[in-house]
Order: sequence, then C-alpha cells, then structure tokens
Amino acid sequence: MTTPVAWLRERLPISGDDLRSLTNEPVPNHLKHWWFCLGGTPLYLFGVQIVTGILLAFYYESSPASAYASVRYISEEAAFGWFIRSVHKWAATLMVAAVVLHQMRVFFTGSYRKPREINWLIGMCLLLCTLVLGFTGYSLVYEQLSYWGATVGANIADSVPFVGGFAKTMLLAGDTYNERTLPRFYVLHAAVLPATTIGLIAIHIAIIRIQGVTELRFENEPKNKPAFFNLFPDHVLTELTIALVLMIVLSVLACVLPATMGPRADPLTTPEVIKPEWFFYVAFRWLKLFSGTTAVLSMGFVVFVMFVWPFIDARIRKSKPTSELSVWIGVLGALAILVLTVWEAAVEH
Amino acid sequence: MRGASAKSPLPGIGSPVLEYVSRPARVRTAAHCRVRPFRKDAWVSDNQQGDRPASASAAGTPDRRGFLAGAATLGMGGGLALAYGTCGVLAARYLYPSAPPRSRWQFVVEVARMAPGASLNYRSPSGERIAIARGASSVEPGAAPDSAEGLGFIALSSTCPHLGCQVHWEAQKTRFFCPCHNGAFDPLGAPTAGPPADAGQSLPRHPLRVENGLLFLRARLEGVARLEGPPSDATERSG
Ligand code: HEM
Ligand code: FES
Repeated sequence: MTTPVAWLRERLPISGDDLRSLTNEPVPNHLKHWWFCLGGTPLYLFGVQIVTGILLAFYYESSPASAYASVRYISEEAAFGWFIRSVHKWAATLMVAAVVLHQMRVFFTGSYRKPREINWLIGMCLLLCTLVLGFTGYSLVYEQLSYWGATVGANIADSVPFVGGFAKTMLLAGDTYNERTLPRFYVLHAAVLPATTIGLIAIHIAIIRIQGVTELRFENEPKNKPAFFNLFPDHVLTELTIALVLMIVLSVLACVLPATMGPRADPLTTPEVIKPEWFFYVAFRWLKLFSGTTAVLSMGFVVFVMFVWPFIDARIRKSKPTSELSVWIGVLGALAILVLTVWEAAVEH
Repeated sequence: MRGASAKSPLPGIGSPVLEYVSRPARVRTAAHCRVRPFRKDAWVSDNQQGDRPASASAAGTPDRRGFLAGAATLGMGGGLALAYGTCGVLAARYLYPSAPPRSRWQFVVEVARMAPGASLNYRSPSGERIAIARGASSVEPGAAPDSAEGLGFIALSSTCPHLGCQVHWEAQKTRFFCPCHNGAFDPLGAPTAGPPADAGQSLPRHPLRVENGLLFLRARLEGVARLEGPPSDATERSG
C-alpha cells in the first residue's frame, strides 16, 4: 500500500529542500515598504483580469449587431454577471494605475540603471500592452464611446507617416469601422495581447531573479541589520496581504460603482462630449493642442524617449556625476502628465 | 517618512537615497541559481531501460564533419526560416482586407428641382450622411458649365478629415462642427477652426455627376451604420 504522497513522489521526484532553496531568493529589506511591492500589484490584477475575462467570454458576442445586447445580457440577466463585469472593469483601471505607479517608483529610485536597462525596455512593452488592452477592451462594449474611441484611435494610427495607413487598415480590417472590425478587437483583447503580456511578464520576472532587485538602504537603518529577508514565505505573505486588500477594494468598487452601459453605438452621430478612458486623457488633450501629424509624431517621440531613458540617463550621469537633472526631468514629466490629465477631465471640449 | 534625504525633491522616494548600491550583474552559474529541483540520477524512467543504440561512427576528418554539420544546420535553419516566413506572409495577407469596399453611382435628385442656394441631406445605402448643396455659381474654376461642379453642386461627407468623427450642421453659426476636437468647417467644407484648420483639411467630397438632368453621387454600399441592433431604450434600464 503506497500513500498518495509516496505514489506522487515516485513519479515526480521533486525535492522539498531544493524547492525551498529555489524560492528563497533573498529580497532586499526595502521591499518591506509597500511602494516597492507595486510590481506585484499589476501582476495580481492581471490574474484577476484573466479569470474574469474568461468568465465574460462565455457570453460575449463580438459581432457589431449583437455585441451590445450580449453585454446587456451579462450586466442584467446572467447571475452575478454585473459583478464579474464590474470587477473586470475596475481591475483594469487599477492595473493601469498600478503599472504607472510601479514605473514611477522604478524611475525615482533609479532602478533602471545598469545592469537593468533590458528590464526597463521589457517594462515599457508591458506598459504599452496594458494600455492597448485597455483601449481594445473599452471598444468591445459597442456603446457610443466605444465606437468613437475606436474610430479616433485607428485614425491616430493613420496619421503616422509611411506605416500608418497599413496599420489602420490592419486594425479596422478596412479603411473605416466595418462589420469585421469588432471581432478583430476582440481577438486582440482576449488572445493576442494577454498572451504577449504573459510572455513579457515571464521574461520580466526571470530577469529580476537573475539580477536581483536593486538594493537600497535608508539612512536611518542600522548598518548591522541583515539587508535581506526571504522571498518565501516573508515576501509572499506581503504580496498576499496586498492581494487580499485588492480583492476587498475591487469588490467594494464593483458593488458601489458597478460598470454601466452608455447608449448603443451610432455611427451617424458623434456624441457632443466624447472622452476616452481616463488613462488616455493625456493623449486626447495633446491631440486637441496640436494638429494630426505633429501631435502623433511628438507623442511617438515622448514614448521613444521613455524607452531609451536608461541610456539617456547614463549619458547625463557620465558627464555630470552629481547632477540631479534626471530626477527633475522625471518630476516635470510626471507633472506634465498630471496637468494634461486633470485639464482634460475638467473641461467638456 | 523614512529614508527622506535632505536634498530629495520627493520625500521618501526621491532618487538621492543614501547609499544607493547598484549591484553589478551577478554572473550566476546553474549551481548558484539552484534551479534543479529534479534529481535525474535518482530515478530511471521505464523507457530509459535497455541499451540505447550505439551512435554510428561518422566517416571523415573532424574538419570535414564540422563543415558538413555547419552546412546542414544552415540548410535546415534556412529552410525552416523560409517555410515559416512564407506562412507568416500568408497570415499577414489573410489578415489584410481582401477587397476595397464596394461603391456605386446613386441617383440623388433632378437638377431642376434643386435651385441655387438649396441643400439636402442624403442617406447613402451604407447609412452615411451626405450633405448636398448647390451654390450660386461654379464651385470649381474651369469646370464645364453643365457638369455637376459647373452647376454649383457639392456633396460633403459628414466624416471629419481630422480623426473621423461625425460633424453636424450648426444652423445658427452656419458651420459644420466636429465635437471631437472642436473642428469647424464653412458651408462649402473648408476648415475654419480646430485641428482641421491647422492642418488645412477640408471635409471630404463625394464625386458627383449630372446626366440627362439628373444628379448622381458615388458612395459606398455597405457599412455598420445600417446594422440593426436592439432598440437603444434598452440602455435606460441599466446602470
Ligand atoms: C504588467 C506590468 C508589470 C508587471 C506585472 C511588473 C512586475 C514587476 C515585479 C514583480 C518587479 C519586482 C520589484 C517590484 O515589485 O517593484 C518588477 C521590477 C521592475 N520593473 Fe516591472 N512590472 C510591470 C511593468 C513595468 C514597467 C511599465 C516598467 C518600466 C518601464 C517596469 C520596469 C521594471 C524594472 C526596471 C524593475 C527592476 C526594479 C528593481 O530592480 O528595483 N516594469 N516588475
Ligand atoms: S475628429 Fe474632428 S476635429 Fe478631431
């Protein structure tokens, strides 16, 4: 008579000791501060998105004739459909916020510096994936703002020189929004982008494990205190606490402010006030300030600078080792984003 | 807050945190990482028992073997790249729309029934809204006097040339207005404000033709605007 455990052991000879030493990556002490755990937050929220997304996919239909009705079915008839949809929506919002905060903490602690430039680049790709997931998800409801957001977004792609026309046609499956557009957004949102994101997160975390998290010491920390603690179980418990808090926050938000539905898409009438999701307010304001190609090219330039920032920063610090310029550029950038976002939020047009 | 340094512009999370230690990339060996939860030597799977066939002793000098192996790898790699590359091209072609949308000449109105200064709204079969107007004189210098342009006809699409929103007519301001980025156009479609004015983009015009005293317009046949959905009062119940 073999016990189930012994039965398994015989077939999967995994050593408990080895597993323990494998997961016991030493983690620098500063990860006890919550703002250094902001990387785990989008990771957890991404998990929430996958679970709720799969549930939504059971009822969602991606044809323009029936999409809106299927979302209405989920929100009003399917049991707890409103809850699952609302959690999906709120977790998306929080995920964007968490990714941005995580990136800001990486920026202001200088954790993108050598040897971690590659992970900054991977992180930028994750940021773009997250934003495009938000954009495509918003389009699926097929309400007025979904439709006009998608139209405007595709035309922004169009004003990129050389490749823009091709990109727009590929995105819309035609030169304007048509019957084959929505299924395309759906496949991007529910298959292509999540798969890409999972792959990027895997690389992101693999690199973190190879390089270790950047060590920071606070001035009031005693010198002889151990500088590291264990990933398992100590740090995992911190992350679990965050996960629990997030689940409570998500449930409360979903119940108090459930996801609503605007009027169904009407390709003949652009609503008087159109707004994208809040995380695109910056770009939307920018588009009102400058004409098409200028706005698009300057935005592309800003994204490019963000990508290569670790290398720009290295240059700055090489020529002026004590310079605080990098921090000030970051502060200015963050302020500019904040101001444009608030401006767009405050006015109708 | 802990960790605030006197110079830091951002208390607590500013960059000049004391003793920033940039750990150089540690070169980790497999042993260092200890990514070896499996102890291969500890078990023997059923299908590993028995003798493996001895590897065939290859002929030729090591040099020649090296070259042949290199050539074979290159050949196989190249073949695979070509094969999968072709599949990639096929996939891209598959995803690109196969045919441009169909359009056709459509009858609009008898020329005699539309005096100079008149205008009408036309709904094309695709559902698109097209504003047709007749000016007092030719809208295009040098157009033949009996052509649509020569007779003063103009057909303006309602799709904003900036980023594709729908413009609407504002009678009190005699202009077309685009709510997306505050674009505005005069009655002939020339931009007067907003991003379209900055970029000099007019409202797109549809081709017009006059034949036997009848006005025709070329427009698309298909579009999502035609699709029927549930009545949108269904939306009022949600929230
Ligand atoms: C889906 C989005 C993302 C996930 C799930 C994620 C996950 C993580 C995790 C778990 C860490 C470990 C340290 C920590 O928790 O703070 C980390 C570190 C890091 N992340 Fe991200 N991240 C994401 C997006 C980004 C973005 C947008 C950037 C910047 C462009 C970025 C750049 C970095 C860098 C450079 C590190 C190393 C920091 C250090 O060594 O201190 N990540 N990420
Ligand atoms: S889409 Fe009309 S002004 Fe931008």
